[in-house]
Amino acid sequence: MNNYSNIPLQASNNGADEYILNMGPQHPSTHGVLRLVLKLEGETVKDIVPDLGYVHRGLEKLFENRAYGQIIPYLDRTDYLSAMNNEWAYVMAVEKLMAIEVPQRAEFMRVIFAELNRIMSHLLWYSAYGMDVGALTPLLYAFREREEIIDMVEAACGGRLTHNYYRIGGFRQDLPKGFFDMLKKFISHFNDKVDEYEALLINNVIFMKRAQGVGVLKKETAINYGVTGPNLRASGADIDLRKQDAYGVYGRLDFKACLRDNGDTWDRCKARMAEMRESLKILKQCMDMIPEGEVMAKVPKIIKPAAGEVYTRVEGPKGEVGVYIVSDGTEKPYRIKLRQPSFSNLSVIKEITIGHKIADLVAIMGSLDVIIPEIDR
Amino acid sequence: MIKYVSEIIKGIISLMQGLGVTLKHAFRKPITLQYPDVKADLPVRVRGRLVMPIDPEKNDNRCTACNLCVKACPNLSIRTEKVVEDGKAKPKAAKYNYNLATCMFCNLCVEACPFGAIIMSEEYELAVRDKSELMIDLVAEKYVLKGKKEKYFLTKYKEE
Repeated sequence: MNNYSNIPLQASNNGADEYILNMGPQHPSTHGVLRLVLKLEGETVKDIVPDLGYVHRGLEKLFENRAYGQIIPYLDRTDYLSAMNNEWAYVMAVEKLMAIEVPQRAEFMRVIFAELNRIMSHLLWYSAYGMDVGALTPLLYAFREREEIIDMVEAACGGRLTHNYYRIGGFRQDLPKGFFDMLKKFISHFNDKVDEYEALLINNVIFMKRAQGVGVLKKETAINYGVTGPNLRASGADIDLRKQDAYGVYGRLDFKACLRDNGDTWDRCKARMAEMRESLKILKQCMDMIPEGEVMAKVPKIIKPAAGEVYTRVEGPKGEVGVYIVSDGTEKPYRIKLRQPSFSNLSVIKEITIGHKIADLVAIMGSLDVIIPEIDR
Repeated sequence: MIKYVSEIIKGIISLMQGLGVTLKHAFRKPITLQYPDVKADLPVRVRGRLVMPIDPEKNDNRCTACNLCVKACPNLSIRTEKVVEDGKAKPKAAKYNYNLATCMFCNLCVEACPFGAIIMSEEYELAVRDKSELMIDLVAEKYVLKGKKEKYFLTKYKEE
């Protein structure tokens, strides 16, 4: 039982009650195929090593054999809960490389879909996290609103999860007729629904006892490990790329980064709940400000950026989504590196779980909101 | 002691809040559909499997086997065979092999087509019993579109 080839973990044989336990790859609370090798003493976690690579597809290598336009659908398959944010990071990189100016209407549409995706992702996190800690009801309620968003997105781009909607230079198609009616209806009642979610799970006393003070992530640790997104903001670091970089039209919109102080599991939950409310505010403003006009810039049929390199990043629902492109002046990229938040967010798990019970590990793991295809790519 | 009692009261209140939410939902109408019997009304842009419909004007498909869709496909799901009939200027597709197994429904082939010959249909129940059935010859299939999608196809992807 000591042969875990690539996992540097061994139970000591000097009489201590230590043993090695595999959590996953087929464990419901790892949200996919991730193996956590745990060193336990009784029920206390002594050490933890995540084993990655179960859904590795070699996307970055695959990109080297694809034309620039063909890469977009693959990006939907990294973080499939917020596909538009990944697409945005990528198309922004190519646009920067080719100096393409995106029409204003498209810029606003990009914000709308990115924020809808953010809410979608947080709703799925909320429902899955409820399941992790033993509450089934939140899943059913959150999926109802998520379905509404998916219907909206489906009307616009035809896909429910794999959207493939953003294009280099703008959008494939303009918004469909009646989209804003759907959006208005959604905005009008979603705030009440967030209140419901909080009453149902987040502010429930049983849940609070379970989550408060568990898995405290200090600000310095979070920054050292490269944790981004709501996890970082829950630890009190005021870093939100929508504010710092102000890409797209975020500079013209009024919203605030949702900060918390303690950085424990409960704060991470609260941060996400607050973020959903902020996203709703952004959507409301976008709906009033969006101009009429073209959605696609003038882009050559064959996309052939000049030789050079570029890095762009957007604030995805889980953190910083970055795309680094090296172009050698041909139709295909020389190298693409994806920087996706879940990898760094997972790496911090050892730091914050050691000393907790194994049941807390499930709660902490869920609150970090990692998604496996994004880690493995 | 006071702290103990107040915590109990707080706990009861928070539990009641949660129960109130579930109680409210007991009187709401269900939003689910009884799926195999009742099917959702899909938007016109929905991306099901690829089809090459018959154009009623020509009584034939619009494909000229120009291979632009083949080049646009990211994972080589399409393969065509060209044929030039006697006395006609435009070539035609003799075979249009579409591999449903590798297709990822990205719509790039439809966007690449200059003639509007192919379209993503509304079909989404795509399970088959044998793997070989996933290789479909779209020319031989002679697909006839119905409903919303037909209008969408005839106007070359214009909505209303």
